Order: sequence, then C-alpha cells, then structure tokens
Amino acid sequence: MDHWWTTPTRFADWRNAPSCDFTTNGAVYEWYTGKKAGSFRPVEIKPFFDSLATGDTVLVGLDYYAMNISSGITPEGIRTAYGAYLWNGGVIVVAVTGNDSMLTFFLNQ
Amino acid sequence: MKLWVFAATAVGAFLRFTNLWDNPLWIDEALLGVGALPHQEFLGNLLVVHDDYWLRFPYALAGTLTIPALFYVMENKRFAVAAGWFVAVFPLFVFWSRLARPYALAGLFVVLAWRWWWAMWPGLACSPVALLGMRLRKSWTTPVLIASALILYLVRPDGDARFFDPDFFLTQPRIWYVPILVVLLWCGDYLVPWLGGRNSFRAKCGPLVDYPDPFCRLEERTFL
Repeated sequence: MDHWWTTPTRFADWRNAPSCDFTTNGAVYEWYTGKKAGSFRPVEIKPFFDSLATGDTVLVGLDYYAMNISSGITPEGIRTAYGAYLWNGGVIVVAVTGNDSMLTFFLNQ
Repeated sequence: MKLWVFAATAVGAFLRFTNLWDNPLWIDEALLGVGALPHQEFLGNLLVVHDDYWLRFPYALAGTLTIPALFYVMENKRFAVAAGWFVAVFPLFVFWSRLARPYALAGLFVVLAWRWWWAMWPGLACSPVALLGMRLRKSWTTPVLIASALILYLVRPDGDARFFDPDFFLTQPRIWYVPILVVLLWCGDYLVPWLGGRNSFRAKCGPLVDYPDPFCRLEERTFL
C-alpha cells in the first residue's frame, strides 16, 4: 500500500464498525454507519473530556490516526500493542472512563 | 492504430474497475460522500451516491475515457497511442482513477479542452488545477477561464497559499495527475513534431495561436 503514488492515502476499515461516541476518523465512520460521532483529535478534544466529566463511559473508535494526529492523546500501550494493526487498516474500539487526572482505556470486545 | 487505442482502453478499464470496492473509503472520499465539501468539488458533489462502488464509478470511468480521449484530441496519433498506453498502466493514473477524488475527472476534461475550450469549465468545477491544461488563445476565453479558476479557488475552504508551496506540490503525487497529462499533450502536439523537424501547423505557429474558429476546428482532419 505504501507506494509513492499512493501518498498520502491510507485506508481504515470502518465497515461494520460498532457504534462509537468519538472517533479519530469521523467522516469515514459516518459514511459507513450513518451516524455522527465526536472527534477524538487534539484540536477538538474538549467534548470528549466533557463527556467523561459526567461520569459516563465513552466508546472511542481508533484507526491509523491514533498513530499520528491523535497519538498524543492515545495511550502508548494501545499504540504499541495495536500499532501495526491500525497502520494496516484496522479499527479498534476502546471504552474510556475517568476524569482529568486518570483515564482508563479498555479494549471493547 | 485504433486497435491499439481500443486495447489500451480495455486494459485501462480492467485496471480501474477491477475490485473497485475492495478498499474502504479514504477520508477525503468520505468527506465528499457525507457532503462536507460543498464549496470545493462542485462537479463531484453532483455525483455522490451512497455506495462505495458507485461513488468511485464516475472517476474510474473518467480515467478510462481519458485514454481514447488523448487519441481523439491529439494531432500526433502515434504519440497519442503511446500516451494512451502510458495513462492506461502508469500506477499514478490507475490509483487515482480508483478513488472518488477530482483528479481523474479534471484530467478527462483537461484532455477534452485541448480540442474544445469550453470543456475547461467542468474541469475547473472539479479542481482549479485543471487550469494548467489551458491552451493560450488570443481571445476572451483565456482571461475568463483564469478568472473562473481564481474564483473557484478562493471560495474553497482550503484555498490558501499552501497550494502554491513547491514543497506541497512535490510531496503530493496526486497533484501531478493533471500536470502529467498536460505534459503529454504538449509533448505530442508541439515538442515531438518540433524535434522531428516536421513542418506541421503547430510546429510553425507555436503555443499561442489565433484560431479563426473559437472551437479550435482543425483543417480537414479525420480523427476516428
């Protein structure tokens, strides 16, 4: 997939993705699910923290953007464990709970 | 020679349409599909269908039709056949014809505009980069097309200076789709005849030609 003529494309398989409250790739998620989700990206992260502040558990869909644009807000453990999978088009959904001081990410099986 | 064009078109069609739905949408395709680009791809927005295959179909079709279009619009038919084969199989053209991005559509209209200047309008509606394929004419069409491209560029939400950044141009191969087609057109109808020393009409007159007919009608030529 990584050829000079394909730059900068990268595909993430959001087909049949479960419902998420936030995603790193809102447009593709919306195309395949018909639903809008909040953005899990640094410049638009406030709604995510606002949701957590209410005590809710939020579901976050991650694709390859978790490895670049959203890498600063994606736990290193997830990036290490699933980095190759995400780079090659995989999508994972994690459940997040917590508040400003401590966030807990669970892989949503 | 027509057989070679047909073969190139068939090969190009095979490479573009085979398993068109294999890859999920890229984010830019999805942005088009969900209507997030209203002031950017005017023609593309009219072709949106909520299905991966049919969303990409017009672009694959445009990429395929570019191959015979090259033969149809170029004077130098031998070069046009070679150019058609190049466009048919070169990975850059194949890949970007398989995505719902404006480059293949713009490329088709740029090629058609080589003969019919008004085809530049839908080309510009796809992408202002189509302006690179404009042939200079001593008439009102040139400034009008330039002004149109400028307006279409300025209304884009991403119409900023980065598109004039050489680094952006060099690092985004998708932007090369239309310029490479333009290079092929110029090479076929000007450079190759000039190098060959042929006494052709265009070799004598150069790129800035005052055509008596605004639709660029060429004298007594049969194309197909």
